[in-house]
Amino acid sequence: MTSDSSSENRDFVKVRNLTKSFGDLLVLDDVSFDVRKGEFLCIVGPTGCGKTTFLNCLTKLYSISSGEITIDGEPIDLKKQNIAYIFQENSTMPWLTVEENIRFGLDIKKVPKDIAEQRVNQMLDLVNLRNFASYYPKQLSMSMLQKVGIARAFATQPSLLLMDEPYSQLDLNLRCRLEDELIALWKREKTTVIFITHNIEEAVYLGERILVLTNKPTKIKREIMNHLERPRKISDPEFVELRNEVTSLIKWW
Amino acid sequence: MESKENIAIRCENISKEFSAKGRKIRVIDSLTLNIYDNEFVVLYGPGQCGKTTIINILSGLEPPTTGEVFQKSEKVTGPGPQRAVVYQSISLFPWLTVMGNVEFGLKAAGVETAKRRQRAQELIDLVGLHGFERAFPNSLSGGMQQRVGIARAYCIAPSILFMDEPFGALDAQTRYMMEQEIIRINSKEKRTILFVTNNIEEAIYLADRIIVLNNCPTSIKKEYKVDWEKPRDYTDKKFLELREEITSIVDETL
Repeated sequence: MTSDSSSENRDFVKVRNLTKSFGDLLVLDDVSFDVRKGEFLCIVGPTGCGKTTFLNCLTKLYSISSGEITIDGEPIDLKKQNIAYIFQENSTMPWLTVEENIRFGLDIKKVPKDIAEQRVNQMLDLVNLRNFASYYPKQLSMSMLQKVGIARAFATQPSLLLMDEPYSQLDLNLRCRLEDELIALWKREKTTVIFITHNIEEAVYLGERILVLTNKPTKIKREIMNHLERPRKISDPEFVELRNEVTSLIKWW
Repeated sequence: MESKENIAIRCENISKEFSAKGRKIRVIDSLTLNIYDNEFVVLYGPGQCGKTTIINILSGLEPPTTGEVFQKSEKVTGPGPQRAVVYQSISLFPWLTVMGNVEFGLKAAGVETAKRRQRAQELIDLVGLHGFERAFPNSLSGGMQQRVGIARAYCIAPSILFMDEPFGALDAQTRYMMEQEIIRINSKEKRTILFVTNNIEEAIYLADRIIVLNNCPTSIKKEYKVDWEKPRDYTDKKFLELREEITSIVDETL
């Protein structure tokens, strides 16, 4: 049944008529879209448009006012589905070493010791933190902390990875390098990623597809496919053109 | 243009050492720097490279271990009203209104009420906060709070303004707006500005001259004059080329 697998592929995450209000304030207004399995989707929108509210609905941190979100055909259930969330702020646990932080999710999921060990080691190498395995978070720089968060998320082999501006606190050079590392991880692990950002250049650098949101009450303003070859180059005329297009859809400043 | 008389502030061979756990750490190593009248200079360098220490020394908040700082012919030995600083952590007084914050420096200097209110109002209008005079900081967004910090710094009419990553905590879009605003404000109230950032886009957007720093101990790696007209376009070809060039020479040590 080839048609079956391709349709499953297309609608791995299905969001239908998602609406969220806080009291009288309508934040998400009837939002619908799909995410393919293994896709890297970026979501950008103007400041304060409800991007984080949207992620919080996906992870069930907030209840939704109406609509439906399914993953792999089933309603979201954090116990069944393997969803990882990477935040803007450092969210490492200060009392655990780098290695223990990365292992944390695996222990909770009761992954057998030897497999967990292997995954942790692999992650330490992939994010270049091997030499810092026994360090505590307070001994690390911001960018290293963010790498620990990313390694911890990928270690659990999530079927869906949600990222909420994970690099916005870092300087541009570092950000570029971490973004490259992220793309390498994503390709290798074939994870489905939804990446939320204010930064238009970052969205164009990372995404295979970009959803541009409107201001509150938030709707999808435009969907833009991004087939630029990787590694992408910020000064490439096609890159610049796409970046300017997205900017013109969002610009309020 | 750049003659000796036009130097707004200069430091000669300044070094700075801190002692930690009995060890001496050299943060700045024989730095010599001239900043000219009405020049917009951006210090650009990797995180923790000692940029804030340079600002602290030039503004007189911290003495250098060796070397001297001169504003015009006067030696800088401590903070003074000729030098104002805008910080990343916005550091407004939470118990004062926008007006109270902006007029603070003039009040401290003993300027009479009507006069200082008039001046503060000018600045509040200039930074686009008309109507928010009586608001308290906690009711303002991050971008608006930073506007108050900027108005407060301009209000005392310093001849030099130091800005230490003032937009570092803002989101990318609010940051673009504030960068645009700084260019506009500074064209109305022209000042000599020394601006610190670790964001290369911001550096190229704002600067007349970019000074790229080496990592600790801090010294000057390279200087770039940027004489294109402002406001600039972030995706202009020459903008992106300069960005790639500067990025390629900066230490990428994590």
